[in-house]
Amino acid sequence: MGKKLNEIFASQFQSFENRLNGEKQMPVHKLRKDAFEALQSTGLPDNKNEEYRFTRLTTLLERSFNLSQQNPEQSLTKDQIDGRMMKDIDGSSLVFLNGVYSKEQSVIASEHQDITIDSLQDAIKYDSECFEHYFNKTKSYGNDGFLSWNTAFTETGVKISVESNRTYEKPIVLNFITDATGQQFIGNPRILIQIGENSEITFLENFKTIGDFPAFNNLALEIISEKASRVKYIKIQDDGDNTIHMSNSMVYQTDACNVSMFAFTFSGKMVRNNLNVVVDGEGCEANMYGLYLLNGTTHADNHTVVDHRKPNSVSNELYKGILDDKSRGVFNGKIYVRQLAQKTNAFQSNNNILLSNDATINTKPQLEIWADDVKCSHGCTTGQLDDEQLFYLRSRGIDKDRAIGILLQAFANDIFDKTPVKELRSYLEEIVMDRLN
Amino acid sequence: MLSIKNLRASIDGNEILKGINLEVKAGEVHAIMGPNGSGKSTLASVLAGREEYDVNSGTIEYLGRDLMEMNPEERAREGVFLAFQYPVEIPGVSTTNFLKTALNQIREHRGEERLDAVSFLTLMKEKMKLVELDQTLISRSLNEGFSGGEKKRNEIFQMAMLEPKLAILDETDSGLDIDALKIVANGVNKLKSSDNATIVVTHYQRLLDYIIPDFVHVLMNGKFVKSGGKELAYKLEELGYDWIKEEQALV
Repeated sequence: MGKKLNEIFASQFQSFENRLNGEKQMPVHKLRKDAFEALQSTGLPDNKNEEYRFTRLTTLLERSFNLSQQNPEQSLTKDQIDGRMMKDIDGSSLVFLNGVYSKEQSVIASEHQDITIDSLQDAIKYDSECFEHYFNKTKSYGNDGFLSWNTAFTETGVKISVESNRTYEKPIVLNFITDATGQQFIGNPRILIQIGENSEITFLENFKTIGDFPAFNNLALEIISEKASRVKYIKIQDDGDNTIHMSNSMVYQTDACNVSMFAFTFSGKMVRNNLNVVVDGEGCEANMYGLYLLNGTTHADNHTVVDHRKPNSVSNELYKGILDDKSRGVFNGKIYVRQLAQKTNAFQSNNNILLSNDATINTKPQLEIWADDVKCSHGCTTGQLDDEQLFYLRSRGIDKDRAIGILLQAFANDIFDKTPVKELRSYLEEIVMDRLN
Repeated sequence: MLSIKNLRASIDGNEILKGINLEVKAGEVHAIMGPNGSGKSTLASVLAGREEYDVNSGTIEYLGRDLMEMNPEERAREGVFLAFQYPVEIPGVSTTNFLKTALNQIREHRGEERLDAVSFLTLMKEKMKLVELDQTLISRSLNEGFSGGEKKRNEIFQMAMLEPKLAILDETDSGLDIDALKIVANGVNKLKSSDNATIVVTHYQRLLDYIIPDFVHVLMNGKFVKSGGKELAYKLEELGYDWIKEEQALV
C-alpha cells in the first residue's frame, strides 16, 4: 500500500514541479520539497498509526478515489456557486473554486477594504518575504502525513493579512466550493492568516461540494496571532454525506492574544480535524469549542492539542457531540503544560449523547504537565437523554420528538452561547432544529 | 371526570397498587393520604403516564376515554396536570420558552390559535402574581438552582398557565416553609372552579388546612383502606396511622 502511494505522490510531485517552472527557485519550494520528502518517508497514516486508530482515512481514500487521477478544471455556473454560499451573514464573502481564490466571485465588505487578501499563488510570487516569514511556521507536532501532503503540493488557497490596531465587526466568510460534477476531486487548499498587533476579527469557513463524485479536501490552516490580537475562527462542516474532509488547523499565539476556535460538524462521510494551538505568550486565552451532530454513517474525529509554552495563560476546551444512527465520533484532546508555563489554567471537557444503540464515541483526554504550579482539569461524559427530563416536558403537553429536540438544543446551547455572529447562531440553531425534528 | 376501577400497577415486577377504586367529579377536591411507601406517588405517576410503571389490571377512565391508551403529552393536552414531588432541573431550557411551547401545543390540540408573544407575556405576568413568582426566575433555566420552594411555586405557576381539568399535586407541601405553603395553597384555591378537579397527595394534614378537601382517602399497602370527609384528615393528624393499621388487622 505505502509503496504504491509513494509512487503516485512521486510522479505527481514531478509533474507539479515541471508545471511550476521558475517558481521552483523560490525559497518556498524548498519547504514543499522538505514536506514531500517527509511524506515519502512517513507516508499517509495507516491503521497502525495511534493517532488514526479509529479514523481509517487513508484506507477510505484508497477505496474511494483513483489517487493518480488529475483534477479537472472546474466548470461551475454562477447559479451553482451562489446556491452554496453562506447566506444571511453580513460581512465579506471570499469564494474559492476548487481551492483557487476567485476575486471576481468574491465580495469584500467596505470595512474590510484595508485587509490584504491575496491568492496563495500571488502571495508566493509577489510577497515572498512576508510569505516565507509566516508560512509553515506554526507546525509544532510530529509529522502528520496529511499536513505533509498539503505542504508538498501547496499552490491554492489564500493569504490574509490584517494590519495592527484594527477592530472589525463583521466576519470574513471563506466559501470553498468544490466541483465534483464531472469526476472526483482531491484538493490541498491552504489558508494563511496573520493578525497584526491589537487587532480583532472573525472568520467563518464553509466547504461545499457540488456533484455526486467523491470529493476530498485536505486543508491546512495557519493563524499567526500577534500580540494582543483577538481572533475567532469558525468551521462549519455540512458538506453532504459523500465528502471527505481533513483539516490541520494550526494556531500560534503570542503575548496577550485571545483566540477562539469553533468546529461545527453536521455531515460528511468522514471528517477529521486536527487542531493545534501553541500558546507561546503570556496572558493568552485559547478557547476551543466543538459541536458534532452526526447521523447516518458519518464519522467525525476531532484531535486537539494545546501546547502551553509560557506562563500565565488560560485555555478552555469544550466539545459536545450528539450521535444518532450508525454515526461515529472520536475526540482526542491533549494538553501540554511545559515547565516554563507556570500559573497555567487549562480546562478540557467532552460530553456526548448517544441517541442510538449503533452510534459510537471514542473519547480520550490526555494531560502532560511538567510545570508544578498549574490548574488543569479534564473530563468526558457519554450518556443518553435523561428520561426524567423527557417525561417532565411531555407531562406538560410537549410531544416526544419536540421534547427530545428541546433537550438536545439545550445540550448544544453551551456551544451556541459562545458563538459570535448573531446571524450565524440562528443559522446553526435552525440546522439543529431541522435535524432533530 | 375520573373513574379508577380495581387498578393494579407494578414497577420492576413489584406490585405497588393492589386494587384502587376512585371516583372524582368536576368541582371536587380529593386528598390522598397515607404513610411512606403506601403507593401515593405511584398512583400520581400512573395517572400522569410515567412509563416505567406497568398497569397489570383495572381501568382508568378520564372524561369518557381510556386514560391508559394516551401517552403523557396527550393526557396533558386533555387536561391532566401533575405537579411533581421533585420538579426536574433542565439546564439550557428557559421556563418561558418551555411554557410557550407547551401552551401552544395544548392550544393547537384544542383547535385554538397559537398565542402571540405579547398575549403570552401578558398571561404570564398575570399568572406569576398568583404564586408570587419573580420574573428573573422565569427567564432562567427551568428549575436550575431554584430553591425547594421556588420549584414548587413554579409547578403551580405552570398549572395556572396550562389550566388543567384534573390537577394532581404530588407532595407539593414537602420541603415548604409555612409562608411558601400558604402561597402555593392560595394559588391552587384560586384556580379551583366547578369545571376542574384536584387530587392532593400528601403525607401530612398540614396542607389540608389551606386546601380544604371534599374527600379524604387513606392509602395503605396499595389499597384505599378508609375514606371520609375532611374530619378524617384531622383525626389522622391527631392519632397518626396506627389506629387504621389496627382496624385493618382486625378485619
